[in-house]
Amino acid sequence: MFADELRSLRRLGLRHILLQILNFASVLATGLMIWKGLGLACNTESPIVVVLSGSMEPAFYRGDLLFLTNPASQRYQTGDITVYKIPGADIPIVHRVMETHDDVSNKKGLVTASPLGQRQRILTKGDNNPVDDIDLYQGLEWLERRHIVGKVRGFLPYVGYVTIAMNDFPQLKYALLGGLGLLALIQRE
Amino acid sequence: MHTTYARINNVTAFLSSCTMVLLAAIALSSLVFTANPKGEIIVSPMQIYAGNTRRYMNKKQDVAFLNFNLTADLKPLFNWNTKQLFLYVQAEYTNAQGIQNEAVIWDKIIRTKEEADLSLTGRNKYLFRNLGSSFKNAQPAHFSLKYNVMPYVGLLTYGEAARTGVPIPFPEKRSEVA
Repeated sequence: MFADELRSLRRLGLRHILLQILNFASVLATGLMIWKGLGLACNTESPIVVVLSGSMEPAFYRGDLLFLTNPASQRYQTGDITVYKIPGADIPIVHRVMETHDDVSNKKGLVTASPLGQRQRILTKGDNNPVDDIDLYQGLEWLERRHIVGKVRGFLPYVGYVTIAMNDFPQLKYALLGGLGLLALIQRE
Repeated sequence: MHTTYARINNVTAFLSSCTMVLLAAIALSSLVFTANPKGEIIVSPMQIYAGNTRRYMNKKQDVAFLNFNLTADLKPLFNWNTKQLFLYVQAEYTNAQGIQNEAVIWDKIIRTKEEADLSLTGRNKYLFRNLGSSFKNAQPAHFSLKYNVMPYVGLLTYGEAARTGVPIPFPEKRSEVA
């Protein structure tokens, strides 16, 4: 079955295979650069996330794609949907801000140049959950800016389901990667 | 050139780029709809009682209770790309320590245009508490009705439909439930 492909691979020679590997590597590098560049522009470590739980239904379902930004000049407001990561928990959570408490500068006579210089305490809740998130904070009393990855600005349904499928069935991931790699090697154009 | 593989490849590539363009067009189209409906919110005087809250197990914390009236016709916010409205009533006040607070005290998800013509009385759905144990010396609170328009695809938008004209003062704590 693969004899044909193997023969064509031999005919192409080492130089061609190396070139294809280089092409493949450059595709990967471009992807990484776009991802990191987007992260830089949006001021967030992950500008695109996939919804993993149903706690924001019916707004967001499992597999929906969310686009995040985290503007350095804006404070969080109630109603914003934030993605946050509690230290020690490995899965980021997408929930809505229910309460914000902004401290004023406590140094006498000094005013911070930006409201972001002040501490902001935040409480979140999932639209589909009956109670707020205090139990999810793992001992923290409030969420603060440093825990927040970004706020949701854009929405694209279903597309992220591919990544969920790949996580649930790792074989699929390897098959896909292997297949793509093989195609990249064999193709001659 | 005309292998089955090449054909499948071409068709799927064309289909996916068409879908992308269509989705982008739908997302952009909702920028055209710039409805900004206004309504009215009336908040009755608050009452404050000491209560147990989830946050501090063994401590009493003051909890404020209030009733409000909402009238707003939010139908214009529903266009072909509106999946749902997240509607919420928010309290804004500055407490005795000068900390600026915003708290959502009530919310509602509206999924159809028919539900969007609102006229209702409600009470706070979430416990309305201050940061410390009491509301003592807090400035009067403003209440506003806000909405978040959530699309089928595209950008999330926010707006304010109503706001109380005069701020509502926090009353003295009542010792017992009348």
